[in-house]
Amino acid sequence: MAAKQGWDRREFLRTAVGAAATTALSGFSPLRAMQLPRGQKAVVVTFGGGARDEETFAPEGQENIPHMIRELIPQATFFTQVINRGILGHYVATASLATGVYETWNNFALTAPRNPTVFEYFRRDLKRPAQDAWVVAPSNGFNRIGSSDHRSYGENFGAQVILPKQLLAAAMSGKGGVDYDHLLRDNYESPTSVPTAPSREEDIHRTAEILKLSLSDFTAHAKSLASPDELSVYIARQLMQQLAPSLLWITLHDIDIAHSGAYSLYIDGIRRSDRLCGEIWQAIEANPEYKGRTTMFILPDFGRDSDLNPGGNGFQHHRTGDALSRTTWMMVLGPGVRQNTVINRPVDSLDLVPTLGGLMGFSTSLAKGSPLQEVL
Amino acid sequence: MLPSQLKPTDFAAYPPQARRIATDNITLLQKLPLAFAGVLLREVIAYDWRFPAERRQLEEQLRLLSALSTPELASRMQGFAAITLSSELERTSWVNNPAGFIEQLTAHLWSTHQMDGFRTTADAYAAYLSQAAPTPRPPMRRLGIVVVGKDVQQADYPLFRKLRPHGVHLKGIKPEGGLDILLAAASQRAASQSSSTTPDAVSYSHWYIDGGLAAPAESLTQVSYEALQRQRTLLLNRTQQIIQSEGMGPEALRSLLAQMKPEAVGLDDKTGDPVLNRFKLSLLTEGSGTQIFSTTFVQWAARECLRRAQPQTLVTRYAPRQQQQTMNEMLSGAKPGAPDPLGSLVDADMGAYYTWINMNRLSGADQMSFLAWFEGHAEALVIGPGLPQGTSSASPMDMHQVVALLG
Repeated sequence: MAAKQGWDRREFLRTAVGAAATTALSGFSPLRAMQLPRGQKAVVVTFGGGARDEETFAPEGQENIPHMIRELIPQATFFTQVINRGILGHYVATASLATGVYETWNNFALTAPRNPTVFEYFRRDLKRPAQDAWVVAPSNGFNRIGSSDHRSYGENFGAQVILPKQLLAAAMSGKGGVDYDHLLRDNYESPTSVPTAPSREEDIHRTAEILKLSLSDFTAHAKSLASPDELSVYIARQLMQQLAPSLLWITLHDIDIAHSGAYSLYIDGIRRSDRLCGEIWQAIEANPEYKGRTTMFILPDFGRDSDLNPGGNGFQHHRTGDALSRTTWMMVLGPGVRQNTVINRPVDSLDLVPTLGGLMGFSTSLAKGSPLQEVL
Repeated sequence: MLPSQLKPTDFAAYPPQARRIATDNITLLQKLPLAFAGVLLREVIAYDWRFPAERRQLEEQLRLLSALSTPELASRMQGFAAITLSSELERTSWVNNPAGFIEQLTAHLWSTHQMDGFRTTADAYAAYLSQAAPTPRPPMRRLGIVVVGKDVQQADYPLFRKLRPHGVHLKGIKPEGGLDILLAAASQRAASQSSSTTPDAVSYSHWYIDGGLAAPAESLTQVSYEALQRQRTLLLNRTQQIIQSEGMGPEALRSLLAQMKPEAVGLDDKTGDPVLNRFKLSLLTEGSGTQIFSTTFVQWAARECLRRAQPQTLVTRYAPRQQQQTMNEMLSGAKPGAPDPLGSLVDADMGAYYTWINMNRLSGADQMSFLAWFEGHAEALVIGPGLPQGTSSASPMDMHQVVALLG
């Protein structure tokens, strides 16, 4: 029943946006991979953590995502069924998105992925410098996501990981931070994983220097922001302006307030994430280093439990592993990507990494997914 | 240890009635696969503090399984037996701490990609149980009442959208005295039943859950967020201590909270009802967000009340929750934030829908009546046998007339 619901909702989406449904894989040809110059950039945004169809792209949810519906979808190829068959915990699921393999460790363990990440493939294969791959992430456990402990890859090929909340916490250290507490929220799923500031002050200053960020300007600006995700996007923009990395991964997480059981706060998180996705795309379009050469991927890490599953409590958690909690969507937009196109065939969360590899021209030999030919 | 090695003395630490249940059924328990035995023992060990409906279900389940021949039982348990468990799981104290065992089993099922298979097996087993040992219909038609929107003067939010296809959207209610009338109707149901049937049939059959301070209501089992303020504070203090302990992960936190006794948060069995005390404690230790948001508390309490006590009458009333603060701040038991009536209205609207869904899972759902009312306002949604679906009415009516619609 839940699976059917998910499918029906996607059908509504197709009619709602008036897009051309495309289901025949054979109908696609590699229009662009060979034509585009090297130097292609990609920005991946995980619309997290965990959003259901019915609060996003299903008809009743579209009011929560006006920016994606009106501004982004008309420019995008939209995959209506992205299935996550792995562990539905945010860190391990996001890491699985980044490795293209369903990682299996305890979600709450602070551990590196076992399999090479997309950043390692990218940097090793294309011989890219460390500053060309970055991750902006919430601080609850995601600090190890930049590189695996795979012996053929590892930290030397990984992405730089920036945890804006740690940066802010450190910048505010000893100065009192009541005005910033709202930006330091952490991990709604587990209260025991709290942000830890970088141990060395020089690390903070080095990061600030890389971003050409005065800590006083940073803290002053942070005061005007409403949530941790806004802080993340602010930092991502700084990265884009100062370093223009070719591969940028932004993990949003405000939506996970749903674990507190307050539906209105969950919806607020979705609306904020929608707005931020629009702003990220605007930043791409406004930046000469990115405009016209950047593909953006937006996808939730997974869904949340169905209202109808007796083993769960609806939107609050993602514990049942039911069809709705495993099935979500992905939007791809950028030069050469077919616009206003809906792909209804089921694809796998793991397909992201080989698709990025196909797009940017690097090998993802240990990843399990398949390249999505519709956007290559 | 495996179930086949179980001895009566293994249950020595169980509470008296649970110990009797376990030892009376030890032959059955010895034949069960570990994954299922652990889940079953979680119910058995808490038997002394279970509601009558839960006790009946457990006894019925044990009776049903005991009556199966060995090959029939093995066939029924095939899916559970096929789950690959680690030796580490076998070594856990699953007899005396089945809740802890289930925590570890869950992590194991996820990490070994067996969760989907386990769920399919569990669903099939639940379907078998409901078919082989169906829950009897309630003595009186079930009634659910959800009151939302306390302290909201005006709201543009379109209420009851998910419920409207199932009932009549009322827009002409005269709200004066509405809450008192609804509580009086619920109390009257409880009183009428207690005078006509056995005490056990009435126990925990009529409930009132309030997200603020409960209004006076007789004959109803009551739980309120305000009345548990001391317990919530003590629990949050304990949580803070655990969070600050080094090496204490989320699983450990959950396990510790699950093992808390009512007296640890000031719920005294000598002066209070031990069954209800444990229920209240479970709301705070097993629910996420119930300790910090009153709206979450009401929704979760209603869900658990319906799932466990299977009441015939349930009145829930939402009150404004505090505004969102940092999670650390809220968990630290700091001064609550200012109330957020409009956000709470949205929470409560979804909570009303969830309560209706949960009521539909109980026996006799085809005959149940349900009301969701925007407190102090003219708007409500009523569902019941004989009432049209997907319609609306602006006819003026007072709350007595609304109650009459519920039958």
